[in-house]
Amino acid sequence: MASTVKQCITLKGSAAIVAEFFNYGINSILYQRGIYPPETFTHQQQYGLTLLVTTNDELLKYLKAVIGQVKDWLNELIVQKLVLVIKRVDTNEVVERWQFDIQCDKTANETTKRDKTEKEVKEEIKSIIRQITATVTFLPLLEAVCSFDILIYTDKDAEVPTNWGESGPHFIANSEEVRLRSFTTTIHKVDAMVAFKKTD
Amino acid sequence: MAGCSKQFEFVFDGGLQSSTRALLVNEVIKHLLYERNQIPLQFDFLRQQLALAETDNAQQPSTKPLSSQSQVDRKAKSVISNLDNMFENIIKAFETCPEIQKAVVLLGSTPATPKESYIINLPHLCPEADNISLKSSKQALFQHLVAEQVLSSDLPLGPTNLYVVLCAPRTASHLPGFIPKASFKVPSRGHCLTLNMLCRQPTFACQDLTFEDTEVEISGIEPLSLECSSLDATVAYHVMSPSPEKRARLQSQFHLDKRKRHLSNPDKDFDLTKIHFSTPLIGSTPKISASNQPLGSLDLYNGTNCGQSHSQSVWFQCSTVVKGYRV
Repeated sequence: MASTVKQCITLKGSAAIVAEFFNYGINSILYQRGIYPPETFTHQQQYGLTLLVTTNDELLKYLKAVIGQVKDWLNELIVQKLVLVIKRVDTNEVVERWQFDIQCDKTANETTKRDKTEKEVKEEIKSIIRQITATVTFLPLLEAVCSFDILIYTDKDAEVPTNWGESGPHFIANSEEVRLRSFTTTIHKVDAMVAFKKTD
Repeated sequence: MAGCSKQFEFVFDGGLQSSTRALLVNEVIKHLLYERNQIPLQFDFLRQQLALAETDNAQQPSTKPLSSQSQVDRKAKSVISNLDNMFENIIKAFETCPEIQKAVVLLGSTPATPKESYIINLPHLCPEADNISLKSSKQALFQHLVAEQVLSSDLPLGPTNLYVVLCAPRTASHLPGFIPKASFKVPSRGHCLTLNMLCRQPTFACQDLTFEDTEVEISGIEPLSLECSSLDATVAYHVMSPSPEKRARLQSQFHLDKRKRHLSNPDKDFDLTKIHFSTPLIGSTPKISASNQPLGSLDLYNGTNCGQSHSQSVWFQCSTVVKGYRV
């Protein structure tokens, strides 16, 4: 007799899925916005898409540390937003701001099992990554040399590691916003949005 | 339109030059290829990655690429080359015939049996309008296309062929790089999306001066309640016709009648005795006919074929076909 295994999502699994999304999402943004040279990226197949991920050791190390910490906070259900800001190197002016709002289901705990398959969640993530990639068609060209920064909004009671510091929101003056798709694991829901400086 | 499942409208804030319209069609095709899984990366990134791969191969000739990677690169190269050719043909077609009003992008094994059809209704050319740049128009259009996910679909679609068919006026006997397809019809089968592009452009009032059948006040005429006398008739005549020399013309243009009050539809028998001089009370402003629209009105797509009848237009199919691929 054939047996069926029903897939479900746990808190730990949900945090891993969301953290993985951030890793690929941030890499995609950094590639397509030209923050790092294209030759420092390599192809990877993920979510049924061809994605580009960095091969730059320093950047890999930085992203590993940041996303590792975010994953811990996702497990603790205390993270509210992840924001990637792109700034001009010469003036430090913020020109683009990618905001990922995270809603955590505070009722979830280590024993929680939600009735949603990983495949379903990854289909939703595929759509949002595709949309992020498609934003290059309308985002203004970044003409100056730019750098990026990652901001994490957490609950007030979050324990902040020593190498993390408090920061301002890095808003853009005179910006335009485009809301993108969202996905949910049923424990964490992520809504994406990009804001960019209005051009004449 | 039969078989079309979705319609999307986008209004540009000004007119579009023919060259801009051609480039927008090209940009929609690029975006569509990515959205519908026909190319693994956005077109410009695909080109960039291929150029990098070629540079790597040139610098390290001894390092043979894996056969599968080599095949992928070959396919990418072929797609890029065919697309470049197709885009060039589209630009030339719009240069030859700026009046092209419709482009149809078909995804499927043949143009007659597409799995998906995308109909792009382009805005009419309007020389009087302020034209907007390609950059602005592209940004505005794609911001909406991406945010509203107009071209994305959950329907699975494997690698297939992409065809482009343009609808041009019958006066366009030849479009470079395109083959006339007299028998082509927009397919009714498969998934279909119509993208109506409109322009906010000025349209100028026509000369139809028909008034609504309501009372109007003509400034400068004292209210009188007398029936026509010869003197009054002369006075009235001078008001309506500033120079006696134009009397003959006026006679064929104006007919003032108590019952009608029309300033059009010339009456052959202009009879002064019919003129009633009691100035009507103030009424409504002239009703502008349906063809008259105020400045800044929309060039609304009327749902007809290129804004022309089928007999006035002819289809041209691009001789280049693009075959999608998957990594």
